[in-house]
Amino acid sequence: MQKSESKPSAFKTKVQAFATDDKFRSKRQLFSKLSHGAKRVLLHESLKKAIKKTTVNRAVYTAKNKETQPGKLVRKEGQAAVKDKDVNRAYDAAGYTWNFYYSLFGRNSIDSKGMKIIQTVHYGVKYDNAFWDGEQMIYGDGDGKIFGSFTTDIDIIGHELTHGVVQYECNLAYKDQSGALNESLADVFGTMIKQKTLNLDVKHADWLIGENCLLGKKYALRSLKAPGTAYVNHPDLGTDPQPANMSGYINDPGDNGGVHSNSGIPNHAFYLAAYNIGGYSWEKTGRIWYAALTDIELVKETASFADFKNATIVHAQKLFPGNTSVSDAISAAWKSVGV
Amino acid sequence: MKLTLIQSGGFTGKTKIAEEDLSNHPEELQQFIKQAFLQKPAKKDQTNPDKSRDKESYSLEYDGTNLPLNALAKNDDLDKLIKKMKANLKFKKN
Repeated sequence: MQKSESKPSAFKTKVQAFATDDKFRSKRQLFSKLSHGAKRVLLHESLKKAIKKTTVNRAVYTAKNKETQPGKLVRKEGQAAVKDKDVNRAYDAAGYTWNFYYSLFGRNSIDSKGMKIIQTVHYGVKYDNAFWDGEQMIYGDGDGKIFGSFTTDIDIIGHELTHGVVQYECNLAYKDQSGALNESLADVFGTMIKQKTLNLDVKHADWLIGENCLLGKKYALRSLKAPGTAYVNHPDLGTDPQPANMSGYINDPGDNGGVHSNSGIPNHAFYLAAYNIGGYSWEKTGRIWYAALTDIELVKETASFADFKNATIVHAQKLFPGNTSVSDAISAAWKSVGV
Repeated sequence: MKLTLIQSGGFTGKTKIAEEDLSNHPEELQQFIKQAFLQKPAKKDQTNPDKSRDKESYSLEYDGTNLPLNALAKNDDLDKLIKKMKANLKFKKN
């Protein structure tokens, strides 16, 4: 047998890998749902993506308790764990988050083009917050009294990374309803990333955001299951102000029109839809929400709750055409929260 | 008259405030603040430009008017006061 026949071409090997390799499973599943015309358009790009070696690329820096970023590099992709727990938690959680987006939606990182995931820990002195600055994630250590480290919850890291995903997709304006949707999507995907990592179905998940970083066993920062109850009579924060229904919509000019409060409304709609559809949140409801957030025709930068509701119903019908119970559950969830 | 510094945004979305009684400060600074709030902002708010919109932002409240912190013109005495107020920020209880 000739050598050229015994050794398949590199291209053929890659195509075979795409067809059989487990790591491309979700990509194949998504691909199988496309129409024939769409497949023809996407085939070349899909194969190119599949052929390209796809891996996460993480870098974690420390600000050494100064307000600088990114700071000093402590751990980069492939390096072993270091002594600093915050560095390792940020590194690991970013890996789970990357895997969530890639394995379920074929999304390679924040920009879907393999962007390096840069994170800075130990930002500022007793800094009790975390944020996405448009290019990277930043986490404080907390004051140790009200807040602990912001790397202690995977849903916070998923939340911040999802702000980046939103920026590269529907890019929702950060005020009023579009801003609340922006915050809600960060919470929804943050909690799904936690559920997927821990393999929890909708009935066993806690649906809480920031349960470790807000100190005290009975406290969390937000609840998708019951907005307004994540913390009650907290000695320093009072009571969770999030509404679960449009009847409680808050116009807070100090928070860009209430983006962190009113996110409770779409958060609760997601919870109701996922719970009533059942199973694992990321399997159906999560796919629908992802399809909506990446649909820049239906979800524009200034989208309202009603616009997003419409997008989720349209995509429920597209993704599950033979199963009206899914789109019915989504429609009912939005109706329940007054949208 | 009272000056209030408001910090909001970030992951927590919790508002922090610090208040300062301006009567304890030089007349010059009081007049500067009064004039700043009577006039239109000197520059466009860039506290939360699009890309860093998730980051915390600061605003000042005086006599019922709220302005982004960076909308006020540069003033050394005000800068010192803001630095002091930032160190005294406390969570606003809901």
